[in-house]
Amino acid sequence: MTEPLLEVRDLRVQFPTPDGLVKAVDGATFSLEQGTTLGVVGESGSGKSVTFMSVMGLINRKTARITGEVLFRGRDLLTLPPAEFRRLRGESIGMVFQDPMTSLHPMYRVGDQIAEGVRAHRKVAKSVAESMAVEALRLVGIPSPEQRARQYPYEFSGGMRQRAMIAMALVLDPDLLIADEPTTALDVTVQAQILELLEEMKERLNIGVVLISHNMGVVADVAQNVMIMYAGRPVEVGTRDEIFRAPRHPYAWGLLESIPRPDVRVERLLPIEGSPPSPLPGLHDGGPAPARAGRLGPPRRLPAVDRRQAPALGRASAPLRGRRRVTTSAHTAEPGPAPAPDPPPLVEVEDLTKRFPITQGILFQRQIGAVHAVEGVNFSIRTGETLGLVGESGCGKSTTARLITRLLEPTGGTVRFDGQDITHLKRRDLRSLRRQMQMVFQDPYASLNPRHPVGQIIAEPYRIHHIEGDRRAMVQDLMERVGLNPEHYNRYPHEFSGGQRQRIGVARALALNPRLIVADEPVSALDVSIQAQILNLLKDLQDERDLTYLFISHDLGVVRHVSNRIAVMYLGHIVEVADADRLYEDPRHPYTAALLSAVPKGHQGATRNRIVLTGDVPSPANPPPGCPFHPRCPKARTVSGSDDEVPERCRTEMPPLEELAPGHTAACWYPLAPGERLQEAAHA
Amino acid sequence: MTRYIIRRLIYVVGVMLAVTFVAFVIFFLLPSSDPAVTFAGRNPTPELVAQVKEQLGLDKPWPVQYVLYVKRLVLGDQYGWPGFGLSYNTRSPVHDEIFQRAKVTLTLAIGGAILWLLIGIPIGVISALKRRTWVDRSAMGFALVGVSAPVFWLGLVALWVFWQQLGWLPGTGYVEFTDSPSQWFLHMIMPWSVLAILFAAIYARVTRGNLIDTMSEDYIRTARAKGLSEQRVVTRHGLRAGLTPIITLLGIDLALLVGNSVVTETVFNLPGLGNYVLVSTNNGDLPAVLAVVVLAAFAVAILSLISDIAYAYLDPRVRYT
Repeated sequence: MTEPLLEVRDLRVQFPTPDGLVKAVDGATFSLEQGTTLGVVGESGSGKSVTFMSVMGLINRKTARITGEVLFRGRDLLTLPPAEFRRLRGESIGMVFQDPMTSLHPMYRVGDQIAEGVRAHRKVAKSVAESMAVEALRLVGIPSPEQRARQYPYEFSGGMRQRAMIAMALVLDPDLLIADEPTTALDVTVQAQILELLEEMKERLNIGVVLISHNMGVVADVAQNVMIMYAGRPVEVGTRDEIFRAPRHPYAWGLLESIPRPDVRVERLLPIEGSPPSPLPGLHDGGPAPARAGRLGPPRRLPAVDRRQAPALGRASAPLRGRRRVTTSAHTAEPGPAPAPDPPPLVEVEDLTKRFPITQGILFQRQIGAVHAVEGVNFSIRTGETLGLVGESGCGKSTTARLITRLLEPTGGTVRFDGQDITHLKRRDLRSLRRQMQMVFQDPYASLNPRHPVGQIIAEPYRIHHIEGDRRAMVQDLMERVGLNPEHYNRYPHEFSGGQRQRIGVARALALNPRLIVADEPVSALDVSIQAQILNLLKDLQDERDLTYLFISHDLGVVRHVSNRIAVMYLGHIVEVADADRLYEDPRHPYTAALLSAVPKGHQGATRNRIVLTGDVPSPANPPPGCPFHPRCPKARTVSGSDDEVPERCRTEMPPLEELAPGHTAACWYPLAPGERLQEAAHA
Repeated sequence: MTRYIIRRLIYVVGVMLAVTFVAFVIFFLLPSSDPAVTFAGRNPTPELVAQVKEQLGLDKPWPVQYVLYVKRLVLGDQYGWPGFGLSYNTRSPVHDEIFQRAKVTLTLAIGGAILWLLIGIPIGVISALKRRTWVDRSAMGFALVGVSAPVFWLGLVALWVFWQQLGWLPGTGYVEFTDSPSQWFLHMIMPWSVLAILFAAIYARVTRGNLIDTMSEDYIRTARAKGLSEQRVVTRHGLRAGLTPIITLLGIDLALLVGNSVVTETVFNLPGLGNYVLVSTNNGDLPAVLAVVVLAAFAVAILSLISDIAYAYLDPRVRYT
């Protein structure tokens, strides 16, 4: 066996703080061969980023205690003098970070930023460095790299910026590329592009790649080897197949089970109870996991699993209670507890349109254009059902939510709630309306006022709507119902974890006993195991209180898990609506099909039939004419038989939503036939 | 960009019209004494007063006077452009006086600004980089003292020490640069320093805060991951982003000093605008007050325009249309 590219032995990173020693990494041992990808999975705070920041030498040695060995090509990086370590950074090890929006310097041209890295390591002329930068941009698939190199980051889309980051990391031909959550901030279709690029680079340059992610699916898609981290240490290391087929560590198993997947319908997710342990001492003495004993057994130390000795916790034979899983190969599909056939619609939306004006001028503003956020949207939500609304960022799903709840006034169309036209209701009438519809917001960290105690936050609706009575008792009832300790009535939001905060948000929304709850990405800021808890809570509340949900998310797995029906949005239009199972099994709109294929699967036997859409979502300020999807549509290209041509109809006329099967509508001139697979347009 | 600048300049004109109008209204609605009487001398006869009124245009209703004032301002009068008229007090043209005084104030403000940037920014940078060390603490201690010490007190102490006791400096007053560059410098160094200490303290704090924020940005981590030296990370990546907001601050501060340097000028006996506006206001000398108001408004508007343009140049994300 050859010497591994990277070998880490018993790495420990500790930060002394006034509250005690934070053990961010607590004994990590693993290795990586050249030409392979190691996927590192864990929830926030599991130490996965800190581990690789230490490998990269980006942890300040003055504030952290780092022990152990990090052998890169046999050299221990931790004992290198700083100047020598610096020479390795960028030259032999490249790193890509999570958020491409903030990881590039906003004030320098992209090409210059890449060339700067070249000149930090090689004595070459500026022009040579610049042309190397252009070549790197070309390598990562940025079209017309000469011009792009002269642009600033703000002129790049998210996906393009991440490509530029990868170009920056690869420009000097490193042996190791560390990608820390490289796709987390990106849309699903763009995420697929970036993952494909990482894989291609690994093959072409024969480098070692570390892919850090909280998303099991992402890792499973591209990594040969997987390491699962929990509370600062790897709990399971193995090949992808080993881990996904038969995880041996209960945490790994739990992590896999708590992810809602688009291809499988599960009655109920199995969350990992509690929240991940704090890396502070004192909070857990025995080992990394007792706080989550609910599913992991009695409080005990969770040793790392040695794969050769531990018995496989085969997924099918896992010794856990209450697991009901219904797989849906079309025949065994069991409809969820769908509401009675065709109950009356609670919300009806017709031709709903919202355009935000773009103005120019200081004193005298004139309109020079409009952002077409929502364009002629039609749908209805039946009483008691959950309608899922999916789409990529900027497609208008949040605007739609705000129009329905009348936080925004529509530019056109009508919204009816329980038969009443609420499109242009006045302020005063809106107040009584809002007793019946409430929202749950995305970011539980930002959507709760940090200066109000929780009891006051939840009681706020009572105050606004002048509901008298024992508010404290009412609030405590609610808190208990959503799984919060009612004694925490007087605590402030910062004293709660992310999942608990989202429970507060849910309790606040429930306070007035609304009939409709609009949940706008309620779980996307949460770790997967916590996600599952909140999703289950929402489901239970729906059964119990007969609630109707509009559930908005970019995560197709999450949407499928909670929804009876799903509407897919693209650039302000609804392109397809169908029953949840039907949509996933038999997508008829090419965009839906592409979106589904782009989701990382991350389970055994996942046939990789990914249709990678080219390009980015067009700007809603300047939408393409005709069908908004036509510039990226693979199907239109198969119809015309040419890569560069699109049928005229697609270019000129917006297709209406047409019923293709009972309860299944799609807006496409050339919808996929039932069972038809989307063909990727042949690349020129 | 050109269109933006033109629009902003039109905006400047609007601001100046509004400001002079407000000054005019205040003056006529709250008259302290009849300017014509003051102007006419010690023993004014009614005829003389009437004659003066006619000469100065004070016999017309005030809106007409305002229009005439604006007209002279735009087109100039017999004393030059822009037409500021005749001082009621000194009976000499405001025009020459005010530009002479503006020169002194600008000398004070610009010299002070250079000094406070030279002191404040390095202190702020060092403080940010050595955060939570004794260096940081003593620098911020200095900043606190600087902000708290009033100019009149600090100025008087400085005069007493360096002029009275040590005899290093020649004292107060202003010497023309063309008369004696060395004397000019020796007379200005103390006002500059006193002004600079106050502002340097503010700039050090702002710089420190900005740089601390910038150094925790993701793109700084990217710069380190590229293997750049720490020095380059700080100078090229940190300072570029951290110092850009200072431009805006500097524009505002300089503009405000044009009208607000009264205290420093009084302490050091400098014949600048601050002194002038004080005396003129006390004497009800409308043309002089108006001239200072116009100049100060102009300075605020133009300097904020310049700093906005400079900002757009330094930060490519900012684009004006």
